[in-house]
Amino acid sequence: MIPDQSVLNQLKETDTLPEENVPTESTRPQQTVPLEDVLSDCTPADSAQAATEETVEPATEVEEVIQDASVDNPLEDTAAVQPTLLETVAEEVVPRVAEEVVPRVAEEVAPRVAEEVAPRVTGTMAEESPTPPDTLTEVALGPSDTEAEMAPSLPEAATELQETAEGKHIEDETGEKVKGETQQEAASQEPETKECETGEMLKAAVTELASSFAQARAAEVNAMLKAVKNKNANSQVFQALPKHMRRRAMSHNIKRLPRRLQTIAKKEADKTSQQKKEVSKTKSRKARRRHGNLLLEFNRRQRKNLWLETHIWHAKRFHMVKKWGYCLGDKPTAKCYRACYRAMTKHCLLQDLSYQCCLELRGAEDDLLKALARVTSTDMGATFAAVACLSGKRQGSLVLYRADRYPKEPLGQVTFIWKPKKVPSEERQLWIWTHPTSKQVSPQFLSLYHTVWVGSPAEIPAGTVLGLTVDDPRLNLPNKRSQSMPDPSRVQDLQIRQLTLSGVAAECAWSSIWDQAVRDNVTENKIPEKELNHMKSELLVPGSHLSLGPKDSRIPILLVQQPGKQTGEELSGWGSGWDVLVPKGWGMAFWIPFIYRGARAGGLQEGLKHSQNKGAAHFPHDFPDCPAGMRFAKEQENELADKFKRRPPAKRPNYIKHGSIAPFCCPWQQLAEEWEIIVKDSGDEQPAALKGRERPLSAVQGCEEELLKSAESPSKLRLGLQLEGIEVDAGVSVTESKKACAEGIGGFRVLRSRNVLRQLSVWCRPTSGKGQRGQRLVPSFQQELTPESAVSVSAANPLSLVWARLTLLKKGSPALHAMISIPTAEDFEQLSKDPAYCGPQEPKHRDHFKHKIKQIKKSKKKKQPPAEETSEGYKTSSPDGGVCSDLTLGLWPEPLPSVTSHCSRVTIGFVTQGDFSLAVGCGEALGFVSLTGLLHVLSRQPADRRGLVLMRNAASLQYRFAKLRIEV
Amino acid sequence: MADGGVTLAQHREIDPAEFTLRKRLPRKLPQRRNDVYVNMKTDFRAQLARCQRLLEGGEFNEICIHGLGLAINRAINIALQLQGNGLGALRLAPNTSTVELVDDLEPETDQGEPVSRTRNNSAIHIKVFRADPQ
Repeated sequence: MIPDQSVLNQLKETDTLPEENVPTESTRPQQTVPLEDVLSDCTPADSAQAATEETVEPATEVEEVIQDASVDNPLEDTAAVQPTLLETVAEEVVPRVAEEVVPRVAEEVAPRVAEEVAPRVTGTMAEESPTPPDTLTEVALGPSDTEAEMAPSLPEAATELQETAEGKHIEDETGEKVKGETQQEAASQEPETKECETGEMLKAAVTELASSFAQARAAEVNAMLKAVKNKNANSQVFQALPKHMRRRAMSHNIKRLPRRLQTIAKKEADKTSQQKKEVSKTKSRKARRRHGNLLLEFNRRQRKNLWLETHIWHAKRFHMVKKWGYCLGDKPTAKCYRACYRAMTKHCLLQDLSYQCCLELRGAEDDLLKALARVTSTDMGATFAAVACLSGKRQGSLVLYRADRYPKEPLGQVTFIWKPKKVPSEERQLWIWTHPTSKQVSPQFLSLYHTVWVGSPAEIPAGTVLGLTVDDPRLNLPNKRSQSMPDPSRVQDLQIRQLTLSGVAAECAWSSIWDQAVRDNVTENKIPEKELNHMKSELLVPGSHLSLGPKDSRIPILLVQQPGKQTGEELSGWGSGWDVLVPKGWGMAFWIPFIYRGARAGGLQEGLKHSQNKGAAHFPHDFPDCPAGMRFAKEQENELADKFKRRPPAKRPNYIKHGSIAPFCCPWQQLAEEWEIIVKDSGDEQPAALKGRERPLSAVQGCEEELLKSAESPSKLRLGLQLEGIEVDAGVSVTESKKACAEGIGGFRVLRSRNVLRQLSVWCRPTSGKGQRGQRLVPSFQQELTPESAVSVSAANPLSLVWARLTLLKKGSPALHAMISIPTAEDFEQLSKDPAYCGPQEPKHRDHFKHKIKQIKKSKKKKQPPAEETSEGYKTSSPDGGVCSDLTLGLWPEPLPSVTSHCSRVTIGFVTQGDFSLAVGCGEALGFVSLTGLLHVLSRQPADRRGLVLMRNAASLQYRFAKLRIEV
Repeated sequence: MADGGVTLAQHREIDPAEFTLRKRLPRKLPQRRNDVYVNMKTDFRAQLARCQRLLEGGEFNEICIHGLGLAINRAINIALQLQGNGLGALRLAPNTSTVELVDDLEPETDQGEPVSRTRNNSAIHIKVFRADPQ
């Protein structure tokens, strides 16, 4: 029972940790109570296993509870209750890894914003009494007629905010969050505008005081005067003067101020000077730099976002970003894009990955496997139970799903290593490495984790695990930074052959790093840098090798081979490398020697580029169906939209004119749904008779043919389509997405079934034509591509997206969120006629909203209610409905029209990562396409042109030909 | 064949539904500046021009052209073109060899053991050098 109690305590600690500053009543109980329930369920069983030792530091819910669950099992046979318990535990636990824990961060923010804003707004609203508080907002909210016009919007806002504060709408809290923020902005802008205008208004008020109008406003004016007198708490008295009376010299010479203000100003000046003195007295630079104080300061600064062990090294050389509860190096400050690429290909690029979270699971092998089998699927290939991984010889990689929910609701990508077993029937130990977004931020991490790409580690079997015990790497540092090269004369051919063929023996995979006591011991007994330097300085021959003898520490490390590019036919083995796992505390001790041996350090951006060149999925970017991926997409959208809005309208692309509906995010759900409708529609009629139909939805399908036919009036047709799209698709998508939300699933999903993917990958290749030398025969288990087989595959995987890799045929460099579309027969004709043909052009679209925005602007100017105006967006109520929508010049307002048929070429997907690839020498992109759409295209394309698609950047009208590949 | 290799009879039995074939690249050996590895992806003229430049640069009196498998043909072609353009000043010294390549079979199911097997491929190394005036 004792360990269990401590578990509970730890859990409480971790729970309260992120929330200590703001106690949010709405979120806390909901999250903690079920957790404690689970634990209390486990307690009776736990008494049987007092022998099990406490797990390693990463005190995460998952680990503990799964461990408990697995130990429960011996009792399973006797008690009938136990199996259900195990099931519930597995069900409860695993989803919580990502699901409950991840939204917590977002959840924390949203209600907090709401709570902070709501009382403030409601407070001022409620007090309409003549005694005004110190804020200037009161002036605007005086009891008069004109204010009554704008007042209704505020109570609405207030009630909305109150609702969010109560936490009623947690499921779509992100939307609410945005809303809350905008409202906060609106609220915060009011005082500013008022403050600026008080001067002029004061003047006006004085001159018009005699008039009856002013008499009616007496209360208002009074309030205003009061506000001018009682200046804001944190503003200077200088600011109370109207702008035209302010002078520069007033800031340092009080006598320049009007006499009535001089005394107040003097007080203020004294106060500030006193404050300054106090600060400087206690915190001289010397004092601040003193070791103890510095450490305190560092601890304070990493309270919110943890620092890695190499943080200070990185902070001097990298642009740091705060992400996922850590402070991480984004990219080097030096200009080294190509240098990093060269390091990836030829030398060694080093990246600190210790922000990745490690979960340790312990228990009997069968129990662990039984619990883990529910979160994975054999459909995606080998699972946790793969023979090679289970023996501890190899590292495995997987996508986890919520228990029994495959293929819906994925959680995230993980890699895992089993501890090699020495004795059969031993308790097994499993490490699972996950991305921090899919797990709670745990304050302690097990060990450091660097990725290194060296020489050519592609020569040994993929994922090999190698356990080593090494000397202190600080002892034999080279004097100068140099590049280390392998010495070919020292190795023997026979050994190499053996190694390359059979890999490393299972014994070699064992390392004492698996043992917690050893790890702790090594961490504790590390000789501090200072002592080591002292010993070095006392050497008789300066610069000679320092040998510590018995005091020398032996550090267990684990090397894990990373296979590099495995999929596809070209560049195989590109970017292969080693992951080095080091005990806690030894990060810097290993980092510096790596750097001294010529490794180049990279940040998050370099890691992203590496995985892009490698053609591997990068965790939050390429997992739009995981909760973490969705959150990432949302953040990215907000960031890009903000960046876009910061530019003046004339200096930024008008995406409406470019026909780009969603330049900042990819509407996957809508895309998948629309293709489902299109294909269903064409299936109702004969697939052959595609042309010339009048039904509104089939217009989407027929648009490519129809557009070509009616070349004389393309704009008219598209206009019709657009308007139709707005009506029809808005209706369809809104209702359907709402339905999907009601069901509690994202709806669309990413296809990860190996068999289907392999089938698709064969279908995507052109079956004839030049350059297809060495075409592999279609294996017997795969079908030929026919419309029927295509329909059967897409019917088996509804609303699916396929991850694909696109290579541009000629010039061009794809960008983020580029559209992937279907070329028409005419495009192919042009291409075969003219080899230099780049691709068709999208005709310019018309911006219907520009006019509307102008109108609104004009009407706003007439009415002049300054409170509603924001810098870019204008809150309006659209003429037909009473719906508020944010109109921004150049962006489509919600709801989006049909994403597939908006342009002259039908869209099947979007790009999630794209750039000019230095590895291949042409533009390359990774993205998702709708499975239904892809099959629809493939079954209709000529055999020699199969897999050719068009790609268009969001800010460009030029389509370019690209080759679509699905690599498994 | 060592313990990792599998005999030919066993190769035939491998079901593509259970295993994925991944070819490893041939081993990289240290490369001098006058070694030219010919491939099938780069344009032929570019590779020929590169050899020409190396020879005419005056730095090297000999270059070595390596071709593996499908690229053997191209390596021979390049060497002969060089000789033809060299106005009789260049000589060729071809050598053939066998390179051992490794294929990995990654299991698709939990039960499969990963297997590595070797296969041989032929290679050619053509030394192109200036004939001595004597």
